[in-house]
Amino acid sequence: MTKKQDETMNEADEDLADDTHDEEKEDEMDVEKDEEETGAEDDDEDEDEDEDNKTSTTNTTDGKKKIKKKSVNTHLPVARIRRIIKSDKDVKLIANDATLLITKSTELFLDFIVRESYKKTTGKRKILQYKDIASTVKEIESLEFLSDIIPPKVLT
Amino acid sequence: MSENSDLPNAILARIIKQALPENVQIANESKLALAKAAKVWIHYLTACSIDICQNAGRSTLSGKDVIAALDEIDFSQFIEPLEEFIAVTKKEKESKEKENKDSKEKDTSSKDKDSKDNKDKDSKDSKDKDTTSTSTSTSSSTSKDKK
Repeated sequence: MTKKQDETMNEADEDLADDTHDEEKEDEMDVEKDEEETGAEDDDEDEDEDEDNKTSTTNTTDGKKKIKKKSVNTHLPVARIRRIIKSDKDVKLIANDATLLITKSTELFLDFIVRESYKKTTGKRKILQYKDIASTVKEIESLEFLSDIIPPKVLT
Repeated sequence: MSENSDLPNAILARIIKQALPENVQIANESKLALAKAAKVWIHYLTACSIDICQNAGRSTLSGKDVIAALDEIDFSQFIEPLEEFIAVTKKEKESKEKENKDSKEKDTSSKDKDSKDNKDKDSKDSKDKDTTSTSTSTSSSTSKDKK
């Protein structure tokens, strides 16, 4: 927790990063709030869940509201992703919007690749294996950039 | 301890789990592969966005560059949900800012009341002092007369 706060403090000093700094804190706050709130704002939460279903399909529809989707906040830490973005030397300044979009798109990307990979198992197997992901990467053109990262394994 | 340049494994695991049906598990090897894939994705999308940004003659990477990049790399299916996400984020920010303003106004108004009360008390105290002082002066004068 403290490390995250340190990261956010550093990043705020460097960039136009105040909003994400606040968002990071808000993420932590939301975690605490989710534990406290029980039934007061159920209507609002339902609306948020509907919106989230539009953005990214999830399986939290079993009445298990433990993983209460933090309304519109991202799951992945924005500050850490900004650090990864900045490791690219061509990148100098990043707008807050851009960082948010890249963070959210990463979540959507993971969702996409996992779902496509699961289709390979034809729903029979109960474990998603490496070979499923590798064959998905090979077949889908837009995933070609991962061909070196997730190569099909060669039996020696 | 996880490196600062990597994405947190727990959160990645949660995202992956949410994309799968409940009874399905994921091999550790697959998790590692997906973690790498996510990192490469960020670099890939960033590189494409920066190209678009620089071609437009700007130096700051903006949200529009990212959206255009998604189209470029054949992931336009993400554009609509992302635009909705941004729109909702803005609404939330605005509503939070309003709440902050309202709370600040309430604080200032309550502070004003307190200061007024204090002023009234001070004025009352000063009046009381004046009355006591005048009464003592009159009493002293009467005593002198008597003598």
